[in-house]
Amino acid sequence: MSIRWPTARLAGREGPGIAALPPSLLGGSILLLAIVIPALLAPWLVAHGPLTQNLALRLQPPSLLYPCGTDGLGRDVLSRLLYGARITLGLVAVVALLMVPLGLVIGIVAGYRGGWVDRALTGLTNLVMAFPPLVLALAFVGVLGPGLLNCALALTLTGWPTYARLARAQTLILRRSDYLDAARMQGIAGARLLYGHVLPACVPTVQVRLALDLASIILAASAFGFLGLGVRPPTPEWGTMIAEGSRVIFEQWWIAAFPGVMIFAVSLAFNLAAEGLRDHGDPRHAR
Amino acid sequence: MLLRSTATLAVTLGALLCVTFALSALSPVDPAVKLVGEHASAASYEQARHHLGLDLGWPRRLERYAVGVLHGDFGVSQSTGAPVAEDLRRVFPATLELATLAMAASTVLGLALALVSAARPGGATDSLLRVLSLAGNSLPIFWLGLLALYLFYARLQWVGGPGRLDDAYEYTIDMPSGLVLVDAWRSGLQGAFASAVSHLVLPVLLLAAYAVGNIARLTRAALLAEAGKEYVLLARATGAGVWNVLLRHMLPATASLVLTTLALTYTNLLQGAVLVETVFARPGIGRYLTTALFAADTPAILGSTLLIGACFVLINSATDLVVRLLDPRT
Amino acid sequence: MPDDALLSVSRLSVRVADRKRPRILIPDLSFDLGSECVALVGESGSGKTLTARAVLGLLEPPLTAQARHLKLGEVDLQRCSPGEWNRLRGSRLSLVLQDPRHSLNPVLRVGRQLDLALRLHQRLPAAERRERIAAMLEAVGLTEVRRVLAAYPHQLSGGMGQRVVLAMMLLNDPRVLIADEPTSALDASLREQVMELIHEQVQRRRMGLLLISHDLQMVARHADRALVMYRGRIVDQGPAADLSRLRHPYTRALWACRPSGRTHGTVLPVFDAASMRDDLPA
Repeated sequence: MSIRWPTARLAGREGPGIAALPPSLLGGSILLLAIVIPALLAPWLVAHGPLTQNLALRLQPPSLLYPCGTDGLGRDVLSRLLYGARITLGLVAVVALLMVPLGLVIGIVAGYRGGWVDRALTGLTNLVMAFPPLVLALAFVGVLGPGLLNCALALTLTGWPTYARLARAQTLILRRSDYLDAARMQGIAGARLLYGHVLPACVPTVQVRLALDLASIILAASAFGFLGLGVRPPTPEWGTMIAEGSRVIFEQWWIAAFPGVMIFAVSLAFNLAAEGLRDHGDPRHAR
Repeated sequence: MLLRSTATLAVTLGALLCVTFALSALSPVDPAVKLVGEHASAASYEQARHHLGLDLGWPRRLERYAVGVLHGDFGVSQSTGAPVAEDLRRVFPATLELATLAMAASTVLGLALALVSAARPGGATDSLLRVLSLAGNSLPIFWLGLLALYLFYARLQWVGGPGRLDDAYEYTIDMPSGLVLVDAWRSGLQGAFASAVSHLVLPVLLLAAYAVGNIARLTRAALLAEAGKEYVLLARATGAGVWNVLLRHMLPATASLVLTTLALTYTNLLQGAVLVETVFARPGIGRYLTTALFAADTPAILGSTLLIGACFVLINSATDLVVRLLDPRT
Repeated sequence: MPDDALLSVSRLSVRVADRKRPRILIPDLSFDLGSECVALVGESGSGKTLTARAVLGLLEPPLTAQARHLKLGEVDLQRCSPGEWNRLRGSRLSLVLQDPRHSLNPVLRVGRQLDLALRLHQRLPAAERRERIAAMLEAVGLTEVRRVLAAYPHQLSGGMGQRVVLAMMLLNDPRVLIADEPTSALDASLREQVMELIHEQVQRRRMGLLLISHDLQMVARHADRALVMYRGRIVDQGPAADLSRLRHPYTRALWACRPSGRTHGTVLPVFDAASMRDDLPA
């Protein structure tokens, strides 16, 4: 049995293919690609390695040789930016891959089973939602030790309730409709039913929410880096680079400035994509 | 209904307690080792373990922890050596001051923008709100803070720099209340108050800028949702103008949504203060937390988390209650 | 235009100003209203409510209205500024909607809403305002004045709520009342009572009443003239009492479809729209 994922109709301009996408979705996607592709091709694009130190040329302003200048240890900022993109985007991808399925499973099971299972799971969801996410994530990483894995875990554990709620709401709507009964009469039941029929219905709301969340996850992840809870030096990471640059910001502004621009660009891309997805799924939201 | 809310509140706070306890128990750092040092004898190590209650079973340890917290004992900071509760009491008012000032500024501005935007849909205010929202959700606040310091302090010298006061006053003024504005005023020292204000401008504006977008956008959405309803049409038919209807009819109807948004924003501000205080080197629970994170000072980390978490939960609970009491339909 | 017309509408058109899909909803509508009750009848979507909104100047963009003239007594409504419109609405021209549970503000007490409506047009000390409001509530048949004033709209029954709305709209002594399906949301037993009340108030104050309704029997009983609307045009008109005898095929179809003991269980006639094709807007 193949699964047909519902593709909501695109309410953009009339036209074939790409032209029909709403401008914000298009803009966001292009921006994202403009960052992801260079990040993936980083080893072939940069002239200097991200870890290569050249103390004679430390703290140089942007120039032809070093388009984004050099940092306190003479490392090429541009190359560190590109390699840092891999770290950040990788972290974001891991969080998304952990958080969304966890939330979906809990939400769908809660909505489908009902009864005490639902009450227990909803109680758990509400409980986790009642806690301050950023502070709790900081505490998690702070106590259990810095590192990418702990960051990813922390963000996952504080991020799943949103998806559980969305999934549960969608499942409840479906339960009341005849759609599931029709499938059951064909003999589809249990996990197959949930996976093939309930799950696809959750996709539209989840994808908008995910795009928005990814933007805030990037901001949170870079905050972790800024506070020294992310990767260990000398691995480049945007937040850590900002922290390093903050010490010399008054003279060598570029070391802290450029990583922030990258964070902004990626977050903006996700936010635009989220707007676009929301507009195309529900034209009432379009201004 | 009141009973149920209190029960939920108690359960949530209890769960928060369990979470912080669990984190402390899972910490790879052995607090006994931290107490007596790496090279202590086995005997003193065992003594330390016993003193810290580490030799008891989990339930007893949780109980001890919970009882301690309820009595205001959050453990002893591993870096300052002082009881965490005392440290928190010292720094918390500063964060409250910062968050409240930012809240006041952003509420006024946010509501005003939302009202103007609802009165003139599709106008310039709409675009402004969209940009503000987008920027707020995409710009890292700590980075913006750094750049703002660089521009407005180092370059333009318009505002005070890091810290709460100029160095001249920082060490000469007593801070009994913990609120820099109050203490600077009462100190009577010339220029102290002005100094406090100039150091507050940037962090408050920064936090407020992030909050305005949220408040304005959510309030605007609530107002627009009301705009299509029949009572608005009838109110206009009685002869009320657009602003009259907005202020006297629609705003009261959206009161519960607005209050919830404001509460949410305040809690976000408390979290935002963590980063802003660090960047601007202002004492407060945020900076206390980040310093503790750097030093891997577990009791301090968890104490701050517990306090901020409790504020979070209490504010949300209180708002839920107020909203339910206010709405005449329930 | 007759000299004593309280409301005069000439060649009113309402259109959707959407660049992508411009549509004309009401192409050309004209009628006059004197100290009488004129009913606009027709099915949903015929443009009755749009007409009411257009006359009140409360069309939401992208809807726009134009007319050769639109006059309230001597006042040319098309030349009015927003401020002038606000002064006219509620004091000269008023509106009653279908369901008081939706047309009253759910979070304000009834007394406050009445007070707000009164204060918009008259400067009176608080005591006098209270008196007038109480007097008006009694005039519309509400006896427990204090309870009603302190209540929230959802605490009132449908009939009481509609009386409150009527009171609110009569407080400032308007000349014209537009009633858009004023009894449709009420129980059948109450409908006649409330309609009687409206009719009585209108007659006593010598107002003009524009009654919008799909209830043909009620229209036949209470209105003086009836205008039959279909797809934004008036296709038939005549004395309301003669509604059953009007000739136009659409009117006859409407009349034949009214629910009653006789039509219960029968197949209703289907209106043949093709027969009206020449009359329909593009």
